[in-house]
Amino acid sequence: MKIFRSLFVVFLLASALWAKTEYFILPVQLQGVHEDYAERITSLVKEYATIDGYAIVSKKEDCDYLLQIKLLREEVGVAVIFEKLKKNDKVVWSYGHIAYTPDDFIPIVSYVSRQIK
Amino acid sequence: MGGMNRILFLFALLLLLVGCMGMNVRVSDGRSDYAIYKNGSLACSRSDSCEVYTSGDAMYLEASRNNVVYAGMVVYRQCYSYEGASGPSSVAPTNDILAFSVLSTISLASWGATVGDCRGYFPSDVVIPIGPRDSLQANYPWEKPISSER
Repeated sequence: MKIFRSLFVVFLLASALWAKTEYFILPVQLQGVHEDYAERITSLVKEYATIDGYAIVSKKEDCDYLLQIKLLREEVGVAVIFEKLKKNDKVVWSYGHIAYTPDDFIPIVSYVSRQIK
Repeated sequence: MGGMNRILFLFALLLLLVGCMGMNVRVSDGRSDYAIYKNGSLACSRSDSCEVYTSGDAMYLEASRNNVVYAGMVVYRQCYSYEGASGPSSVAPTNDILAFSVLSTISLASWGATVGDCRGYFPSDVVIPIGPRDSLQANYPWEKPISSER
């Protein structure tokens, strides 16, 4: 009986270790940027989630955290802002980097992905 | 003999001080409202009169405004083991935000291994390049759909 109890505890610990962090991506906030770029950056985040081992879920109630992406037009490019929020909308981490062209999305998403995984 | 020791001590002190010199940092667009970060820590809150104290063999400098990073660059001290270095130091402008983590690894590894070989100077003036690497990419049409990209 003692062995089963120990195995159960080990199983619980192992499953906690293997569990992936789950994110729900909120609608991208755009300012002076075409909505095509919202789609592009969202698909990049999904791609990097697979690489870095966390999950993007389709239902808000299933997630551990919310991910807010903002694309805001600046004089020289677009400010790409990522916010990791708790379900009560409290921001726990944020990062902003300018994108001069859409090609700059890749290193930005790659960096953010490794930070939030 | 005492005089010789004193000279050697002063020489060693001089070598140590080489690593603590100041470097003027500016941004290429001439604005003053960028904050300058050195290796991830705030070095100057304005970009018009920023002096950064040099340390280590390389530094990652970043210009940031309203918590948005605009550009970053790696500045190297010349190491005698480097081949092909033409000036007293080398500067590598980069927009690659991954450079900081790579640099941290290189600095930590090189600190123990080659600190004795790197006695060159950092440049006294550095300009962080703001804007796209290719000037043709300036004023990208972000408001238009992707299909109409240049």
